[in-house]
Amino acid sequence: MKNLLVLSLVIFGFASCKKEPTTWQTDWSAPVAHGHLTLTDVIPGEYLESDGSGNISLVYHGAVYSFTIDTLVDLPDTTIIKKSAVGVSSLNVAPGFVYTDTYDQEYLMDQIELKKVRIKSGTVDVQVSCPWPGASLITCSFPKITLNTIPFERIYSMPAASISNPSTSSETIDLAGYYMDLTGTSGNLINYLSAEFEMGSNEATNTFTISNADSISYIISFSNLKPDYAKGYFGQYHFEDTVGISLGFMKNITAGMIDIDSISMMLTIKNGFNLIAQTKITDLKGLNSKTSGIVDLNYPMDNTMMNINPATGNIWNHTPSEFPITINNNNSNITSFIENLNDSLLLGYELDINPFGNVTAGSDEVFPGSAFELYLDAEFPLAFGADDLTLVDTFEINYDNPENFYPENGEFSLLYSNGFPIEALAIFIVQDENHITLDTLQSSQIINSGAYNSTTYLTTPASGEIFINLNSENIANLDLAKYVIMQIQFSTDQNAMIKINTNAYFDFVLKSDLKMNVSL
Amino acid sequence: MKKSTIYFLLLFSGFVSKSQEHLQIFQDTVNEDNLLKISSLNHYSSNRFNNAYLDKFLFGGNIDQQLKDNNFNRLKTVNVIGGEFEQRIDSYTPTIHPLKKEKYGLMLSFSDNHLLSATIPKDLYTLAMYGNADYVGDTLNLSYGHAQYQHYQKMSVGFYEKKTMSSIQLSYVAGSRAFDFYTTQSFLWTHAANDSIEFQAQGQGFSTDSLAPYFAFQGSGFSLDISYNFIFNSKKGDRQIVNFKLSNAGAIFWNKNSNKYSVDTNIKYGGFDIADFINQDSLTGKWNFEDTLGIVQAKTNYSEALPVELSIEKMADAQGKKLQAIFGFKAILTQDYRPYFYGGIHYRPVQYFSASTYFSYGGFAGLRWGLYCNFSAGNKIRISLGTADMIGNISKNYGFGRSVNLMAVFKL
Repeated sequence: MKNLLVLSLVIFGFASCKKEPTTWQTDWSAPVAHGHLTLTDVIPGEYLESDGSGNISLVYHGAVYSFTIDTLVDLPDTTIIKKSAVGVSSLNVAPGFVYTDTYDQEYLMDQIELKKVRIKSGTVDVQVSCPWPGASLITCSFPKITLNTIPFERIYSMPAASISNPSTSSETIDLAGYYMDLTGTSGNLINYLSAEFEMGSNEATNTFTISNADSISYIISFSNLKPDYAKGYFGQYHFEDTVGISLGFMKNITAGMIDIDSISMMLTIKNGFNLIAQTKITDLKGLNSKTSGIVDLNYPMDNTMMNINPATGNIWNHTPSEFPITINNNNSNITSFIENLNDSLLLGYELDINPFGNVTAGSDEVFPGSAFELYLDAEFPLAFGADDLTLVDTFEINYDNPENFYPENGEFSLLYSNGFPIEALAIFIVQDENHITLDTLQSSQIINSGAYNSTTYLTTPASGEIFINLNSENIANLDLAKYVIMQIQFSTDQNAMIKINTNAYFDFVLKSDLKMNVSL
Repeated sequence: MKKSTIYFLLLFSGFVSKSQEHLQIFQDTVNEDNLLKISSLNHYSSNRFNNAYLDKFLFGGNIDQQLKDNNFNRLKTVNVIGGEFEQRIDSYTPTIHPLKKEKYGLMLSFSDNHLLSATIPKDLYTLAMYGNADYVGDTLNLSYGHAQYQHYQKMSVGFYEKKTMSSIQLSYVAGSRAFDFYTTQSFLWTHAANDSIEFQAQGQGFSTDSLAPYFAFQGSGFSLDISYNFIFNSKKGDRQIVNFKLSNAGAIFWNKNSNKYSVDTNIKYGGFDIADFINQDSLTGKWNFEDTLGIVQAKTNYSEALPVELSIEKMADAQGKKLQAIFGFKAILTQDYRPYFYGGIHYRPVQYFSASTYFSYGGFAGLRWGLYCNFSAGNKIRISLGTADMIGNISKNYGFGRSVNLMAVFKL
């Protein structure tokens, strides 16, 4: 019986090993994808506006360049180390005895002369060490550091100790929201912190004796202080730089031309600080890395020094000053600038802070949330003509043909209804991991443009179907592919100038019909 | 070569299971010898799929359009395929008297059994072999498909009556592996525009945790087997033997690691919506087939009835006339098996050799022709070799399965 069982196992194993797989061919039809695309699906809504006729404009409202208070005012970490002792060799300290010491600590801040700041974040560490042989009460206060007008104060109750073994106390306090008056004890200084220390007996009945060797030490460290408001004189500075701004979404446009009707934009210099400034935009270039095309934007005030007024208001209610520069077809070369299809910009600028010195007697202010900005308000009406405008994007793919269900050949079809007045030709370039092109998949037909009426600016959708055939070699190449480059060439209807209506859409259903080999 | 391989496999393979395909011949009226019986009973068959088609799955090769079409054209409402394979050893010991009665002897048995059966709806065959492209705009009905497999071993103890060889046995069943899946109302509709596919699926299923190794002990059960030989004389005084048999009356209780499945879903697939892809920084997650179809899976104990077999046969009598009629009926209580009938003749020209031939209809198959040869070597050894499907054994195009049975009985 045992032999029979062993034999059965062997035979079962043998039966499982066929000489060749069982194969047959099947034919499958299935939808692959579908969609209803409008411009809002591709471009975020905040960048689109439509006029009364429903024609869409691409809009942009935002800062191109800015800097905030951190650039102007920096509060370095600083530590007050103070020792306080009586000036006699021996003193009886009875209950109720108190004596006071004051101290001014300078903040070293180069040209900046601060009178007042409000702390947005930061801490102070207080450490007190007392050798007095009786119980004592020590008060550390900063009368000009206030929160809701109440001065900063900490009281420490110290037990009896000795010089060799002093009593200590320490704590860390969050200074967010505190105002710091930096005019010192006298009120006439700048960049000075004033401190007051009060020391006394905390005994109820006992009297103890101290000497001039019994000094009380204070270590007070201000760390990571970040202001959101500052007043004083911020110094005289000159900044100049050229910054590159990458327009990532334009990198995918590799060829073709567009013809733009009109563009209007406003470049505004906004000064959110209460200080005098001068600025100059020295350079504004558009670069197309694909064509090596460079276009300088020429416009009014180009390379001209502009006086920028201070902001007005107070800490909680302030209004930046604005210096607007209007740029349009009539006063600039903006259309050729845009038609260059720039994929990056170069912005050169010069900025002078307090170019005339401390003419406000230390009344410069930076306010919470304020900034110095180069702000762009632009409206690009989607009224343009396009000729083979080529959008290219690369996708990484990892397609492995399943062993048991292998496509032999097939056809993909795209059934569409195109409500855009733009025609398109799609090409898919299949590449291996070294970006060597293995195959090119292309439909012989184009996606037809909707019929554009240049009088009403409306588009009648065009319907059609395009096919992409895949043979066994195409499918084998897909198996080897690591990258697919999608290249779509857009042209407007008859290369004419068109406007895109808010109701424009592209409906499609992508279907497949594949001959599949089954192998078991 | 292929055929010989198949017979070899059928004879001894581990595919093998419970069967009553072998013709029985009644021997001595009173058995006082120790007997050892070794039998190998193997067949697979279909009522629609011929050997040319089935061989592609057994031995490989391409199923071309004509072969697909030929089998498609034969498909009707009931399209089944199934097989039973049993390797068995029985011992009869007349000197041990159960129930303390001398008329009874001890009967011990061991068998290794496989049962495999399936009902394939015509549209399921269509979908699997052709795909859906030619049925755009049509609905494919996938309802009432079924597939079942059981593999188990039986260790049986019982007693037999020496005079009639009637027996009763109680078996411990060691379950190795199994699955059982079926669909109820299930349809696939490809819309005329091919812009969407709707799939309604209802069904249930079960499988053991593993389908390997061969002796994957994953369940236990019991069964009761009763065989009763009714012996009487005809009006002419000839002895007649009619065998009544009830086998596999029992169940297997598969362990708690078994997988139970159910699905009741209606999904519509229209391809990926491009809105799900645009303006997304990244797409994460893997497509899960079971989740998409709404298949619910649970680990649980599962109890399953054994394939109960009922048969009534008019047996040949080794001591009877040279020419005798044989006929019988059999049923297995499983969804895919239809009542099985056979009828034929048994001829014994000499004492040491006899042969039987018969036609049968039903079971997993249609009409089949069976042929058996029986040899006796003195009074010690009897060997029987035969097939329930001679046409299947010799023809690819006209055969719808294969069968090889072997039995050897030794007097010890």
